[in-house]
Amino acid sequence: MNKILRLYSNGVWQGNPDRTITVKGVTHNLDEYAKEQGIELPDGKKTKVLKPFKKQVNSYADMGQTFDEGHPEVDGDGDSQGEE
Amino acid sequence: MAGVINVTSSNQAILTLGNTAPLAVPGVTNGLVIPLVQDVTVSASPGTVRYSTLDSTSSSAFTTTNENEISFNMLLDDDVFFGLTNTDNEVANVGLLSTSIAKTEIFFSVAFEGTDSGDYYVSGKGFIGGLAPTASMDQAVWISPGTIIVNGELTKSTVS
Repeated sequence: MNKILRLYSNGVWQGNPDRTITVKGVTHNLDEYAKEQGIELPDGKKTKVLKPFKKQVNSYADMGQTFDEGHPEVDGDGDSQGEE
Repeated sequence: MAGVINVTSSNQAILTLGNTAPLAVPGVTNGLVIPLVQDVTVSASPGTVRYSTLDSTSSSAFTTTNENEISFNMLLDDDVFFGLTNTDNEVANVGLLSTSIAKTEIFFSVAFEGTDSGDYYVSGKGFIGGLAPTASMDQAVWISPGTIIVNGELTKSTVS
């Protein structure tokens, strides 16, 4: 476990309010340091990959389907002649 | 071996004193770092009372109060022992000897791992005692033991 994780209590940062840390005498920003070192912080901001909001239309979705469905027949047999 | 605290890098076991608690935090500006320390001992002992009863072949015990103490040996640094003008830290200003003579309560910390963020240290308050500087021709430097008689509990903390 990295030492800086000791500064969390129940996942809450207990260190400096400005989230600065000191490593070998040098002051760093906690989040930047963790990112550089590959340290996963309990309260780290997850980088979400934002997908563009785009409704995908499958233009081939209706291939292989009959077109009759959903089209009511006028007289039931589709021959345009009414039964007498 | 994982977990062992190796202090041979010379900047990990650090005794820091101040007239306020913030001034005694390891690595803080104006904290009085005792130099030339040869060894330091943190003693945390619960007081106990033992008693024996006729129906038992072994004694029993219960705890009373904790008795805590910091002890160390150091080579004397004249500025630290006798004081050096310091308007922020009175312990540094008057030095260890005068602080002991005046029986002034001081705050202290013992850093175990250094002064980086997340490093463990033990802190508290107490009184400086046990100073006994000695010098001889065979040992041609002044050395002295010292103790901090802890007033209250020791506290475990991490450097922020």
